[in-house]
Amino acid sequence: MRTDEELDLVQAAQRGSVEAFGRLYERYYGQMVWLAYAVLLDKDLAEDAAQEAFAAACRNLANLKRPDRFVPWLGRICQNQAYRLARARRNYAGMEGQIDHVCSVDPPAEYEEAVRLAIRGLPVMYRQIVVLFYYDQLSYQQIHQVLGISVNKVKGRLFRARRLLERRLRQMGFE
Amino acid sequence: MDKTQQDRLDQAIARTRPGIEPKADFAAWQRSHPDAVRALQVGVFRTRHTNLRLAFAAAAMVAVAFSAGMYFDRFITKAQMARLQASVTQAVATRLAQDLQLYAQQYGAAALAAANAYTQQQLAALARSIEATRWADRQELTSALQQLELNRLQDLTFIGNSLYAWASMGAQYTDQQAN
Repeated sequence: MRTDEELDLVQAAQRGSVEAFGRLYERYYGQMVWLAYAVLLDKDLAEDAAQEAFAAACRNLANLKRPDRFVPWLGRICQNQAYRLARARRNYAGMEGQIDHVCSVDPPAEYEEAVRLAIRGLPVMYRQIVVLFYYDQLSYQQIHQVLGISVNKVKGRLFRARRLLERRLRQMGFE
Repeated sequence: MDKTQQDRLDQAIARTRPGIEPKADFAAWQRSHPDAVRALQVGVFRTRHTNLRLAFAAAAMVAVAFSAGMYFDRFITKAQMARLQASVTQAVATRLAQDLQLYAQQYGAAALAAANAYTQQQLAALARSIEATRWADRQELTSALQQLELNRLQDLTFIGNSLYAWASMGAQYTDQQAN
């Protein structure tokens, strides 16, 4: 995904080209929405966070020292925006505890619903991998670029996320 | 977890995907974030000028720091010199006072005695000098009186001799007239 064309687009945007930034926006908007969704678990909030992330990137793009690191830089901005929104709406702090409470008190009857709850109960660092891998269908390489972590770390986190999901599902009575 | 279970989990996760289909509408985003677009367009200009301002600010700060450093160096040197001078003066004064006290203790009596003896010597010399002067004056006066006496005696002798000569000459003349 990171090509010379992408580097050219970033450099053109740094020179003030709105058109180049528009192409970057169209290319990465979806990934940023999913990235924010992994934190917020809310579609509308995730879109808000992604749009604010692009706005923040727009304002600070001229200061980006390494244009080849545009995507992880943008991803970090998006995550920060998502956390900020989560704090503002007071959704994030009690979310995992709330999910645990639901899981322990009222186990879902359907396997699919149990999986959904288990995913919502994952720590954010694992939920990001699950969302980007299964929902946005990104490859390991693409996730590595978006999150700015190594491919091996992506694989390791996905493996541990699956193990956590299995454990949660077993706790809810699904083998 | 075997392959079947993993496939089942993977499929279940995929089915839990929420119905989000993010649509990138850059035109709408531009309309809702005009300030960000403007910031993008002027970002290069602002950055360049920011760098220029930073360079000027850095140069000014270096100059101010250098001047302040020089001033403080001089100030500190002066202050240090003043402190050093004051401390040296204080130390010297203290040392002198101690030395003087020691000197007074050790040699004060001897010095006083020596001073007294010297004074006595000077007084004696002065007395001797006065006495010598008086003696000389007396000698001169005595000599003068002796000279006066001698002159008077010489004059008296001369007058007597003259009168005797005159008398002799008168008698001789009388004799001659009588003859």
